[in-house]
Amino acid sequence: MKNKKKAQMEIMGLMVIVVLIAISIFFMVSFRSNNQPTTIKKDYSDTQLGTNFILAILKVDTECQGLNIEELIKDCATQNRVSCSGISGCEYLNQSIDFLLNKTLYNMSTRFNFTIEKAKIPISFANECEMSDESTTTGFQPIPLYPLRNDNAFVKLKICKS
Amino acid sequence: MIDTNNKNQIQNSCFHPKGQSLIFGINKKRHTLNLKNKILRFLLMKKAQIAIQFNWIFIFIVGAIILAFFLVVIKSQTTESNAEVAAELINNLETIIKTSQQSKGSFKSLSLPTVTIGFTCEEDISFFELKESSYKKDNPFDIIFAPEEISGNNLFMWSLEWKLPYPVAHFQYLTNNRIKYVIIDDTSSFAEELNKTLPKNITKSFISSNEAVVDQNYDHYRIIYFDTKPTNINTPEKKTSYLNVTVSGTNIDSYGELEFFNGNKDSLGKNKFLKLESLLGAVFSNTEEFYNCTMKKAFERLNIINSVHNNRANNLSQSQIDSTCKILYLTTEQAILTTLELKDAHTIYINAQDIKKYNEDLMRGKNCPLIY
Amino acid sequence: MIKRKKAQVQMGESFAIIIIVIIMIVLGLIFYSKIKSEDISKKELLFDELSMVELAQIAGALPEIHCSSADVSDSNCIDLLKINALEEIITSSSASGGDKTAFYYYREIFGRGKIMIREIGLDGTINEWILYKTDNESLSQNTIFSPVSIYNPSTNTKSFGMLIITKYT
Repeated sequence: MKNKKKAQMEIMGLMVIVVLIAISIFFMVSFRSNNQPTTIKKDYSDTQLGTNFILAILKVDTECQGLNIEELIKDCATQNRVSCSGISGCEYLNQSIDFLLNKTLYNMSTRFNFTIEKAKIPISFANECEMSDESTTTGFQPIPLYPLRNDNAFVKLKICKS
Repeated sequence: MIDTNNKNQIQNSCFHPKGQSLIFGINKKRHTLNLKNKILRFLLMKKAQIAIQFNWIFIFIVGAIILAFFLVVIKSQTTESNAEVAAELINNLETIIKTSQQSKGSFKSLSLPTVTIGFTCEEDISFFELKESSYKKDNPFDIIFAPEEISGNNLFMWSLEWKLPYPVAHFQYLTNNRIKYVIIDDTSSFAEELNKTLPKNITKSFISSNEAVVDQNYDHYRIIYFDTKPTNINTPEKKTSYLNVTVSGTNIDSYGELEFFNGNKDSLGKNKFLKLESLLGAVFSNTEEFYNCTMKKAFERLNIINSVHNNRANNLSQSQIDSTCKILYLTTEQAILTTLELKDAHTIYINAQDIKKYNEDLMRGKNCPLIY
Repeated sequence: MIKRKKAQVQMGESFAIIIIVIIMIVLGLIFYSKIKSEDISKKELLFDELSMVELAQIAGALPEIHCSSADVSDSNCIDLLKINALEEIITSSSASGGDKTAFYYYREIFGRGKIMIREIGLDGTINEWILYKTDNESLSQNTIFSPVSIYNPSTNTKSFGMLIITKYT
């Protein structure tokens, strides 16, 4: 009887060890699976897009009276006097930005939201990205309207998480 | 008549001779049995003792094998882990060095685990390594001025832009607080200028030529002097090196001659410097060989940049209508040479000053694109 | 007989335990090596991404192609004439028979990659310059797009461009 008890205790001991090892493996595996994959490249790429896109687009020289995009925005946000080939400066601005976005961000299937605030006509373009969505980066550039107005127009580009 | 059973009983009784012999036989059998039992018991005991001993031997052997196996695994894991740490450290160091090169004028202090980083720059070979692990990283084109070894738990990284007169390259200087830089005052103001240029965080001192320099347990002493030789250096020869600077221009941001000496004051070679960044490179390199090798990398880059600017000046001279601008572009083209070496320091410096002047002329009132 | 059997059973028990321990050790080692190899793959991926970002930073900060106005350099602007000049230097250097110094120099900086600049004109014209291209391309690649302003000194105008940095893995 004693021997039977002893053998059973031994087996119990082995079982306890096996169960402990199984539990520790389970915890290790579940801890590892919680680690998020790295997104360094994506984050850097989106940051570059968000910040540099606005800076680059504002300096583009147009064929509309030799003005650049920033100057057209200033006109569009104030007096809207500029006219190019029969259309207003604001319309020309809208078409130019739409064209550049088509050739770049739309082509790259980037989820973005581009707006110019305080323009006389709404200039806003989006690709599956609302202002309330979670973003990787938001580029933001104020354009002073002084001396015609005492405030700023704002250009915003939001890159949403894909 | 006698009863057969009785007869047997009587015969078998111990008093009867037959009975006595029977008893004796039984006793003999019993005795033999006992003896056999004893022998068997004895053998069994021996067997048990031997079995136990064999069991122990078996346990020892298996235990030793398992222990040895685990020790081998632990040792290999330790070696692998050290190699992994070394590789990660060197990779991170490379990334930090490369990215800090891009931010000109920056001074960074980096905390490290206590390691020794070795720097080598020779003909066709240029790398830095962790001495503990011999893990190397090649840097054939990075322009890094450093002593042969930097030991300690911190690293200073200083980056400056080398311009001639347009930006050519970023020079990176590496050192730490275990290396002391001693600048000997001179009759002109060059030594003071150099002392002011060096960052405050590095271990430096500015002394007169007869002031004593004693061993304060630094890893290395770099003594820089201009026209006045130091006379009272009492640091260990193995840990000391000297640099003699002769400035040919009006300030240290020009050009001149250099001579490197070891701790015994034996000359290690002469060379030249071109602009302040190059002079600082000589300050942070302990040997003429390292300085020369690194400056060669800088000149490879200078030749490429000069080719770009030469080409650009040529295109501008062809596209611009204004004749005064055209002349400036053409003379610039002639001033930008594309196969240069450090021995041409004087020519390069003068040409750079001319290009700077032409660019300033273009800035003043002429509606033409600048040279740079 | 019973004692013999008992001894055999005991020996059998010892052997069984050793075999089970060995099996457990082997299973443990297999599990550990799987985890370790997963760790290494993750680190490899991380280093790949870091080197991609490093390449993008270096390419984006090349003084050879940046606009400059005297001593002030514009980091988001690229000079068209410098692009043309550098492209010509690297292309002629990489050609067979040419002095390979410049190509080797940029190969050391850019490695297995491609640095391209695309100009997008508002009139619909698109111009491209391949500043550098490795001689060892592969199908597997990572690309970073960085918008830049392209300055033409001859006409004193700026247009919209993209600096496209590709790294082959």
